[in-house]
Amino acid sequence: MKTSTVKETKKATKVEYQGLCSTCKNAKDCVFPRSVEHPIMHCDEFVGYEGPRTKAIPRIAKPSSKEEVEFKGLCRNCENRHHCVFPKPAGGVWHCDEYR
Amino acid sequence: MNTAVREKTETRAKKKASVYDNVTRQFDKAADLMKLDPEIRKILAKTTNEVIVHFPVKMEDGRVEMFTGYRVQHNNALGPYKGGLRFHPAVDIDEVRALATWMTWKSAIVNIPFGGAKGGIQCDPFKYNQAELERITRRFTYALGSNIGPEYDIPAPDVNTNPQIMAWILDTFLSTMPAHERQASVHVVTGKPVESGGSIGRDKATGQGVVYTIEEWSRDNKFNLDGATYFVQGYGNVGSWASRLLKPHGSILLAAQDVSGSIFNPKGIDPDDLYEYTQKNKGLVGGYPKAEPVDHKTFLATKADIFIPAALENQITRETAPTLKVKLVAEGANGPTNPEGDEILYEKGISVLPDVLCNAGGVIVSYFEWLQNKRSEFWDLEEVDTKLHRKLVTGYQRVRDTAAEHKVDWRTAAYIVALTRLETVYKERGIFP
Repeated sequence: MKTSTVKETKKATKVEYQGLCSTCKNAKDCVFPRSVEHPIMHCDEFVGYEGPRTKAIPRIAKPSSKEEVEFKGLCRNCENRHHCVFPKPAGGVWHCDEYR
Repeated sequence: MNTAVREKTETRAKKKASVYDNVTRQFDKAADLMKLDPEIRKILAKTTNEVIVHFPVKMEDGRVEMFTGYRVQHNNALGPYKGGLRFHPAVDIDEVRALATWMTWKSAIVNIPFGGAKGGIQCDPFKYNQAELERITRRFTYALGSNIGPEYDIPAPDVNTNPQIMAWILDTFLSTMPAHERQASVHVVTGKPVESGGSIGRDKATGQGVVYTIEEWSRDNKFNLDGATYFVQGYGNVGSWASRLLKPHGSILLAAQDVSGSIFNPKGIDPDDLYEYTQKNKGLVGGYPKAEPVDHKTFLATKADIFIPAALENQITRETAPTLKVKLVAEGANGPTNPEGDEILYEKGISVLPDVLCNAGGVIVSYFEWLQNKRSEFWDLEEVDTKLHRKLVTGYQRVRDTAAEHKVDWRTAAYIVALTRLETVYKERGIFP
């Protein structure tokens, strides 16, 4: 009986705000006075979006083989590819005087 | 009707009433005072176009989800429709209508050649990954089609939308244009990333505008900002920029409040130091070690020269207005004072720089971005600031003079300025046919 009363009290005091507060990350702990009858439409403190929830989807399909992942552009079939120490851009090397 | 359904219907009815209430009460007050032509009043009381689009988007897991998007165009007598796009579950036609109407007044008050519009998608963008969000944005842009355009209706960021989303809208819109017209259409959206045609100075524009209007008020009232005390509600973009820009004037920040609570230091808080602290503390002021925590009531009762509400609506009300002990309220937020609060401030002789003027820096720099794109120019920060200053000072003076002429509060005066401009244009152009 006691547990039930506590639950009911909790339910009764739960306030659900509309407007921006309905999805604001800060709504639960927010100290600003608000009214359930007046949904907030503007709030400079609103935080609901911090970029994508999941990691960005790669735009380019994954290369099929390990070789393709490691070596891009000219390096893919360069004779020097396994011992080359040149720093390489992420997009691959497309001009190289050392290419063999 | 069962109880649950009735309660839901009543809540919705209350929500509609309050949304409209905020926008229409001020309009009616100003229209009555200035004796606005009743025929023009009829026109301004309605929105011009309301576009609702339902569109499908394929999700990453292969499902197709249907979305509802809105674009409400209130008025374009003074220039192309202009207003933000928000992505939020609470977006509905009533809310968008009210916000579009507000945009018409805001542009007219600071005399920028834009009308009013607003739009959005009813969704919680946080539920989607970036690729899905991009597709939702692009499909919405495609669905809107020629209902937006660089010389017709120019969207901008709002709640849950950002420069990246504007860049997607831009790219999608340009893709639907003939190749030789694309470069001339970059101003279809504002709030773009700087590299994609955005304007420098947009981030601090609203806070900068707040400070410019405070400067003007100080000059008019022979009030020295050096040593002046103030407190700020909200330490997000507007509140923190306004505080940091007041620092070179020698003004002293006594208290700050955000969603995490209120802090107070009678000797002053360094706005830059507080900003650095918030950057390491999830953007929140709570726990700042160089100030003591205070409750909301004590915060509002802070004895200072200026109060800058820069967070949310309805903070200065019948209950809280009597507790304020300041000379000036500079409204960085939208709608922080309700009509009852306004009356009390007026009776107490507290000056108010109304939101539609005080926080107009953002929309003004959006206009500058639009202009730069149109002219293929790129202004430096000094040029943006100089022009923003000139625009806001002119707007300030017009509102000040109108308040004196009509013997009304500054908010009503601001609305009178806006309505007078619209009335003049309608009278000059007449009603077709």
